[in-house]
Amino acid sequence: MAAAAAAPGAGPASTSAPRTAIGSAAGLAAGGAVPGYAPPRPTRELTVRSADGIRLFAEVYGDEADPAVVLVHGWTCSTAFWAPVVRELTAHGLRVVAYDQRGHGRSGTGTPYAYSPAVLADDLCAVLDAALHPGERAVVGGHSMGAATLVAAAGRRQLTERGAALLLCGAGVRSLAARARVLPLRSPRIRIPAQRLVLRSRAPLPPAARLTRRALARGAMGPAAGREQIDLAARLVRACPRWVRAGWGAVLDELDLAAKVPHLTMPTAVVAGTADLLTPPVHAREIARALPDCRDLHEWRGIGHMTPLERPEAVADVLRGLARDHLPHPDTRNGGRTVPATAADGAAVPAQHPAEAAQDWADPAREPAQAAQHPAEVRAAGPTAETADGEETL
Amino acid sequence: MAAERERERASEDQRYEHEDGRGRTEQRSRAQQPDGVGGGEHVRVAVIGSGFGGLGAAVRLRRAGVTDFVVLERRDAVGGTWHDNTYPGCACDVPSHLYSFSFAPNPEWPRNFSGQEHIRRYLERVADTFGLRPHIRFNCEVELMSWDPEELHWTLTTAGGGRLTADFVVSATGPLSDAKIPDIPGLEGFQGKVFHTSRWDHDFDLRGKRVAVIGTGASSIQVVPAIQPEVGKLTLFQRTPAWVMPRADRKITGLERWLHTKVPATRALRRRVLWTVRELQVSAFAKHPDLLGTVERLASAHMKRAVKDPELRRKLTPDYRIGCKRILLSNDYYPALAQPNVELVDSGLREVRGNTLVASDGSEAEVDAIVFGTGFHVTDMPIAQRVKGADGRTLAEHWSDGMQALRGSTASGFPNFMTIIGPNTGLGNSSMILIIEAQLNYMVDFLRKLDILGAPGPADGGRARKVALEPRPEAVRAWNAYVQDRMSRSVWNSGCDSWYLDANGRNTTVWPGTTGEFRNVTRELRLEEYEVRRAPAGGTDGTGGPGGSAARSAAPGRAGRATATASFLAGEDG
Repeated sequence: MAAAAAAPGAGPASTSAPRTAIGSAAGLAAGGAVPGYAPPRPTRELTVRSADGIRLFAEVYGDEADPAVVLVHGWTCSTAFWAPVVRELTAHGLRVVAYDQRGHGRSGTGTPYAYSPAVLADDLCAVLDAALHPGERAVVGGHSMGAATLVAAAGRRQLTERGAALLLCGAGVRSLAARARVLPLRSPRIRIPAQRLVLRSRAPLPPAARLTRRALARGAMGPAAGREQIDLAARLVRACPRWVRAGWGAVLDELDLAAKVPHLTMPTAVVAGTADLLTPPVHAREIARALPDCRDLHEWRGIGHMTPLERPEAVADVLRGLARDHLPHPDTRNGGRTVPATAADGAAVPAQHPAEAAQDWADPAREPAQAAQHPAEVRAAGPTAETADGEETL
Repeated sequence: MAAERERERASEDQRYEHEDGRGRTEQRSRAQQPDGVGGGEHVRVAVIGSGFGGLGAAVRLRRAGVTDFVVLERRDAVGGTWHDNTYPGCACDVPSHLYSFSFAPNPEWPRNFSGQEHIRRYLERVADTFGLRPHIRFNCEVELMSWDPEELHWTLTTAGGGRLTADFVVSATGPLSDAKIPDIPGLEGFQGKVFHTSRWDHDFDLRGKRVAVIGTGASSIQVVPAIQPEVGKLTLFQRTPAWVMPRADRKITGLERWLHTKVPATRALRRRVLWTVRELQVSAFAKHPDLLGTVERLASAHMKRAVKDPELRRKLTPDYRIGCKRILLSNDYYPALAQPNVELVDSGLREVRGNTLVASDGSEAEVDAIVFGTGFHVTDMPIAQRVKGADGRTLAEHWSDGMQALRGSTASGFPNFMTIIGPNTGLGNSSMILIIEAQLNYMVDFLRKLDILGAPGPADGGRARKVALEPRPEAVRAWNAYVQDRMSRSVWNSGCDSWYLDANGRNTTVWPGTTGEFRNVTRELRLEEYEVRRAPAGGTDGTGGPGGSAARSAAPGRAGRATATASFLAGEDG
């Protein structure tokens, strides 16, 4: 973050002036210690068998006695995606369980054409059973496809019993290709089929590393994303085998889990970046409205799809807030209470009901008013906020 | 052969045990219970049968994010008709690259027309690959399912005494599942061995025996050449000869398989070509049967090449238009019939006297074994007797005048119930998997509409309400009038007796169009064709607990429909 704030010019060249301003403001708002983007050292590694026998690789960080947070990464990422968030959480006395989704990282691949939302749910349930202590409850956080995983597991015994509270980052549960604005094409009639092709593409990434970086930074990350963050994202995406990418891309293309959202009965927080072109905030607002117990809807100005990479401290804060409120042993370890109030603490003030907040979600003019609900974000709010997401309402 | 199969299965099981460790063992122990269904279990969807239809439904359900479902299978393995039919020579009449799921490509098909064992193994692999095993309850035959109009769910009782409730039932029992054995006088007095092709007894040694094969349908013409070299004497009873076309079967070369594996587009192209050719044939069958004369000459030449005896040729020449009955494919059927140890009786089996079979024309033959190649209960699916609808009458009673369904899938009086390969979905020339997959699109949309309609509204206090959809009788009538109208010009109604026709001579099995058209008409569930039934708000909860004093929603009609459409549209916009 500090890198982004110090060198806004390092962001993608396509950023316009106002976006950069917002971006650096966001960077400052979240500013703090430089988080490490290298994978942290796990205290324990384990292999979990999923329902169909595929081996999943899971890691546990932090002290075994601490309350647990389970993190589920998204499409083409791996456990390494959570590195900065893991550092934050373990530093504040939480244990983190992260696992590689099927086909990613060190987990088994299975058969990409057999991937489905149900497989995501199976895998999560297997990890929850294997990695947590007997009867233990945890805060479960998912990003992007990981968030879809939580929705797909709605109503499953494991998630109902184990999940004390949930965090959905960069989530979308339906019409992903139709709502995304990744490709800079004006006409939806061209853009949507083209985006579906990109989702399902098995093509190898272009050999020029710079090109991938550029495309990734533009499509998946906010204008303020720093070099380290883009580097990590590019490394992750490159490491994902292309047939796995295509396999899950096809699942995402057909994804429609809207009917499952009302079955996520535990307290849930939703995080979205307003500059997210992959899953614009319409998704988050729609989900927040459908959730039976939505505690917070955070919309972070100028942040793209990779919220946990772009604002790891803020995501960690939301997770810590959920852990503090919903796990039996609150955070009392070193430094836990001395951390200054940040986004999460501010947002912990009960906001208006998300359903009301989101009722006019198609109207971009309403955004600043809503942002005011979250004090920490006010500074980042600007009248020139990206409103592209609001246009695509169907 | 049976022993070999058994060994193979055992080793397969061992491999699973080894590979899957914990999960698999758990499943096994559950499968070993009487029938794996606990008392009072509630699921969102119950799928009956684990053949192509049932497994396909399971895959599509999981893809739609539905995991709260079970697949009930009466046998101890998946495969349905491809598990039951193990007779010698059993193979598929549709090229394997088309006769497989679009979502589960198999670049490794060994032959153009693969045999039963390969198809069965393909289905086993589908069950493994897509993680379907935890959902399947083996040895679990459904005895009765009845719709509960109060709780808006189906109650299923199984042969083992298990009971479960389901919001939605997919009946994928298939038309070729229950063997049809004609009622022959004197059969009970027969001393030798009797079996149906779909229940082949592999322990019975046919070598040197005198065997009678009854029927000349698709199973028989595969059995006859397969057993002819072994048996002492083979007597074939034929009521009506069939048109038999050459079968372009060959081994798929290693090079092709390698190419299909490395470049999946070549496999897709192959499938596309196979499909297109069959789509183009349809209009000749459905609209211009007069064009089929050329094809008849081809089939005729095929027969004359192998059969030189003019008397045998006469017996084997059909007197109806090709396509009216199922067209059969075989290269070795006619040569087998020309062999000296085969006798063709040009007449149906009338009665059995001791060990002597008497044909309708009076000719007699003494045999040691009878093989019935007499097909299946197609137009009177036995499962229909086990389905009780909203009014307490069974589906069979509703269908006593012939099967009738909306878009081949749903029946009036049977809410939240659909049949895979229902009435008027059969094909004369292409792969049924295409029809099954089209119907599965319909199933997914059905469930999606149920979700949208059941989403909690402002008055429901955040609780989802149970909803059921039942086809309107007018819609069913209109659909069947449309289908029958299209059928009238087709070759299937050109005046022959076939298993496509029901007792009243109405064709209730064949879809008189292309698979593409069927895909289009089942793309989505049209709410204007359905009644919406609702449990009152706060009445029943999701699991159908006690205390639901639900009644049917306001009388079926305009009001209910308008509400349904409005809330559907609201769901769409939101």
